[in-house]
Amino acid sequence: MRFGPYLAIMKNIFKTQLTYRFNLFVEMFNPFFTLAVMWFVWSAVYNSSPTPVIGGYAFPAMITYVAIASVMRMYTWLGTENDVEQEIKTGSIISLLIKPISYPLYCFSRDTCGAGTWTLVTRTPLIIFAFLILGISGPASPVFFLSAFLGYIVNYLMTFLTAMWCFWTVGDIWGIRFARQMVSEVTSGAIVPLTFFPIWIQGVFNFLPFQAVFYAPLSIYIGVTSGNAIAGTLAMQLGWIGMLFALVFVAWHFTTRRFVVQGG
Amino acid sequence: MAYPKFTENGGLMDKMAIECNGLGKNFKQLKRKPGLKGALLGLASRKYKTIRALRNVNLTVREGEFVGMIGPNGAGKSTLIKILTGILTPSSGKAKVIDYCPYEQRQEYVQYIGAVFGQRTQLWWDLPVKDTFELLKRIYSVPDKTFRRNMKIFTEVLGLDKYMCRPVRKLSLGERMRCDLAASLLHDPKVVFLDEPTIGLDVEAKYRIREFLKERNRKGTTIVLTTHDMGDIEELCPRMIIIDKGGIIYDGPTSDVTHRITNQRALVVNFKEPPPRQITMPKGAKVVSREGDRAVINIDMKKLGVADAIRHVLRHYKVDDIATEEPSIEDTIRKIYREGIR
Repeated sequence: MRFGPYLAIMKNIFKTQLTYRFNLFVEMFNPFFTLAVMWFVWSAVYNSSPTPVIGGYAFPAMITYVAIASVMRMYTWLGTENDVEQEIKTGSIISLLIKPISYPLYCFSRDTCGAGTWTLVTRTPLIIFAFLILGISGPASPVFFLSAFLGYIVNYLMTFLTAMWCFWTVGDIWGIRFARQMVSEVTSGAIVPLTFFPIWIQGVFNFLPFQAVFYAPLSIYIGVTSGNAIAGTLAMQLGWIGMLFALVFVAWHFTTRRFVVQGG
Repeated sequence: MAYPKFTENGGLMDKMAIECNGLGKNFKQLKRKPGLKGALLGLASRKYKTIRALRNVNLTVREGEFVGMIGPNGAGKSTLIKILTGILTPSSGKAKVIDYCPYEQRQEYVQYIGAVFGQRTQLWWDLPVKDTFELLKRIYSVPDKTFRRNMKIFTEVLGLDKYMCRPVRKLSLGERMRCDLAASLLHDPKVVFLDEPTIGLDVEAKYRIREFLKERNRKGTTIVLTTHDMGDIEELCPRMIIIDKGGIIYDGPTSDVTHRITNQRALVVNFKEPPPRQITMPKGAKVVSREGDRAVINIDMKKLGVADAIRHVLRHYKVDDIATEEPSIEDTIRKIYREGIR
């Protein structure tokens, strides 16, 4: 396995991102709006609540949760499906397939570099604001960073799985993409902690891979998951990675077999 | 047909670079009814029809050959190239290129080939040309020495140094194509596939690219080229293949096709007064078209001299103007598409 090509790809992606500075600049401001909305909503909820703790979360913990989630959101909204679809539609995928590199790994390097750059550049102001002005607290355990990385991988594998649909029906990806994203929004804990849902719904969500992306690392950050339970969370995430990886592997094998490139 | 070819040091190259046996490729195409009604019906039920893009293609190319493929749009040239580069899996038959099965061992195989698809680019659109070359160096693990040598050749023959620091999106078509060609040859591939590399280029760019390809072929690179420009084939390829309707209809020396025209002339006659319905001509001449006072007469020079034909016309008819024309090679090829090879 050679990593050289993929590092070189990342380097070029990074350079490309910097060519379009304005995009990055504008995106810096977007999360402030959502965070403001969330702050007002949760203030209203907590002010009218008879207890200061709801679903295991006090108000400061809730704001921390929401702020960190909006940073994580940046690297989970990947452009993979769009990019793959464009590459197939325009046929530019040809020049990638005639190179001695793995296409899935090419996508992974491209998207990871893109997500990394975007998260770092556009979310730094938000983080600074959240820590200094809102006074959110740091992670309860440094294992959060490992767990967040595993969550990224789980999310990537799911995204690539839907992106592969492009190879089968060109240009018909929107439906499946939005379905996945909607389910992910609700069941991953990206909007509210999963403890806010009725027990039986939590039970269902725990059987889905999406909670491994947001809720698992966030509950380590907040400290809801601590001690030995952290090891269990990591094992759960690794389990999903293993399962999804096997799925991607098999699906890719069949996909390349019946690949059709558009155009002459 | 044998095309023995010698390497620079005089060795005979007789190994097969490409072998195709009974290659076929079918595409399923959605049948759409026109109009809004058709679009709505398409939501509920879909009918597909099968398009046979390639049928039973047999082809062998020796190492070091330079083969030109020509054929009308949709004849199957690109499909064949895509199978040979490992992007498409054939529906039937087998292909082997330098001991690899392209579509089954794609990732290992593509290390040894280069390809240019004239209508797209493999260069990084937003970045300077140099960045693509550095990336390719890493992707193919090109040694520093080879990299420097090849970049020097690219500069000398294609004049690449002028574009190296410019973003690809700011290059003209001709400049971009030179860079694309160079990019496909950076890693010294054994076999190179070029799908319409001269499409839309001006005379200067075409000249440079042809010189470059000649030089590469002399060094032993096997090249397969598709084109619509017969000039490319006449100048570069000793062997040509004509493809039509998914099959090979001619595979042989390019000179055999070009020689067809050397024995043919067309006589364009403008009559002073309307000629009789039947223009009688001696053996070897044939009236191919008539429009008012104008007629075109084909002359087979093996049977009839041009001067004799002109004398005949002048003696029997009142003529305003008379001209001889050499049919173009494009006409000949169009005739081959239409009537097949005889």
